[in-house]
Amino acid sequence: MKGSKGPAIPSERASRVLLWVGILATGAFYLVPYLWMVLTSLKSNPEFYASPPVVFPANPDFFRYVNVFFASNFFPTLRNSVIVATITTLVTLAAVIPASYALVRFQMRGRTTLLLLFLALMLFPPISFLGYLFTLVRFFGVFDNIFGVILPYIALGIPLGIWVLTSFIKSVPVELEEAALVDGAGRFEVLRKIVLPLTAPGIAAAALIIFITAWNEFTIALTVTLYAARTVTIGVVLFMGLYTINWGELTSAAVIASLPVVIAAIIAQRLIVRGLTAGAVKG
Amino acid sequence: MAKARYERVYPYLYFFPALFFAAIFVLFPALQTVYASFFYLRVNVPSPQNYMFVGFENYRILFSDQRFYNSIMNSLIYTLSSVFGIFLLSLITALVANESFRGRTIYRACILIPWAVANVVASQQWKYLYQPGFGLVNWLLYWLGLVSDPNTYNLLTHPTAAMLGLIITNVWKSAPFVALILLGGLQSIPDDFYEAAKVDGAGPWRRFRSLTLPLLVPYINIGLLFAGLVAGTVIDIVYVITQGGPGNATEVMPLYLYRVYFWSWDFGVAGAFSTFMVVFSILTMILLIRSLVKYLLKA
Repeated sequence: MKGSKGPAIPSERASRVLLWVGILATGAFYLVPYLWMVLTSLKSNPEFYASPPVVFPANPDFFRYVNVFFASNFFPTLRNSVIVATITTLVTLAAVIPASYALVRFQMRGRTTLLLLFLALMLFPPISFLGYLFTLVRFFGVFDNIFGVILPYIALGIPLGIWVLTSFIKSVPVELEEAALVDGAGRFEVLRKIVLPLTAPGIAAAALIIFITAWNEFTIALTVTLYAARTVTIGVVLFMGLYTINWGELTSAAVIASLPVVIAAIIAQRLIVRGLTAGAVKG
Repeated sequence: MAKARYERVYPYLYFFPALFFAAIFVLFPALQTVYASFFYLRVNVPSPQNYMFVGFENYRILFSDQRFYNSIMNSLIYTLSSVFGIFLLSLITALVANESFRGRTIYRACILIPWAVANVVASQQWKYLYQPGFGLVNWLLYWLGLVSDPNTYNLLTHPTAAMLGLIITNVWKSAPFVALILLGGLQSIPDDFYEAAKVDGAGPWRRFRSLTLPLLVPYINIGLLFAGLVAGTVIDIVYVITQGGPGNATEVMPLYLYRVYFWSWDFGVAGAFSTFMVVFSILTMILLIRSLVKYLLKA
């Protein structure tokens, strides 16, 4: 079926048609809801509530974006999320790179157990220990402080990072490392000078995946922040009133909160697909 | 001597930072939660009874709560339907994304959109589509002849429809991740296998049933385990779209658990609930995936 060319026999042609039905149906399902929201965010007030709905805004209202972006209850959440996701990504990488390297290369007791332990962390959903996470964050005096958000996020990022990185490190030829070790280089030097440059794409993929996960997290942020340290997902939800919803501001805020990561994911598509599928390969 | 000890300890230094964060911010609170489930703990009311050992009393309280059973049922419906939908959609998506056709890059970009969007954003976007009058979904239902008046029909006020709305949102959000894992599996199948099957005269359907599907099983396992655990334990989609309503018709376990934690502040019962939820979700998912895989391999 792959790359079928030349005169197609009936069953090949039928499967080609089936393929395009699949492409259009699933593609539309994934794309349309988000695209619809982006279009909605540009509509004027009467157009929001038009019934039946209008597809394209007649005169796009970009000014609402400016208003929402600088809104006193939204801009700080955006700034917090930039700081939180960036620090989370950097610290997680610093912790995960040596750990993944050791998990792949060191011959030592308890290696498999440790790997399983790290991956099993992904099975503990934050909601299941949320109460004591809250207590812990209070105990450290970082409630409603961005570090109260960052510290749990690092813990969440660690299994993700290990999941992505171990498989990338496995693909580095051992011979290169062994040659360097014979030449008298230390383990850490080997990691820094040989493994790190060779796994740069893997590290970039892990960084993006960790960043996006931290940027999108909601439950923990809802629990450990009150006002000053709110992140952008909370910022978006704040536009939902209790009884009435201002769809204009809400959709604009949602687009501001999501478009940067969506664009980053699309630009780095190959990297992310490789990163996410790499972990599963060695499972 | 000292050097030998250093050599032995040295590898573990590489783990220390990762283990440190994981232990303090996941393992420690998780163990504390299990521990707390055996104590009387009302953190918002200081009382001498607090921290008193009560054995399985919290579990007894939990298991005599109607609302708890309601949340289990809702979680089961939500999770099982989601996993089923995610399985079908992600399989189709992965098969499509693995073919070569013009515009495949654009198609793969589309897959990444739901993955990259936050649950909160995905939820409010679908919520807008579900609104009466100006919501697109209502009009689709109207054009399909399923709804008589799109201006008054409100999907989110009907228990079953609201649940379906949540499931669709969850499938939209989770299917891409599973699809990418399955895609990784498809790419690991050597082309020779297909060539050999073709030579033996196996048609596309036959090749899919007896070659692709069995080889995909380990990837289906991992992908669905993740998707199922996420569906069974995440609150944000329900929190934004229905808040558990109408009534408690869509109050799933994690949402009710959140309320036990931060509305009633009963950490003892919440601890019992947490422990139950994690064990229950993992067991359900293992059972579900086992039977699904068995079915796929047998049929």
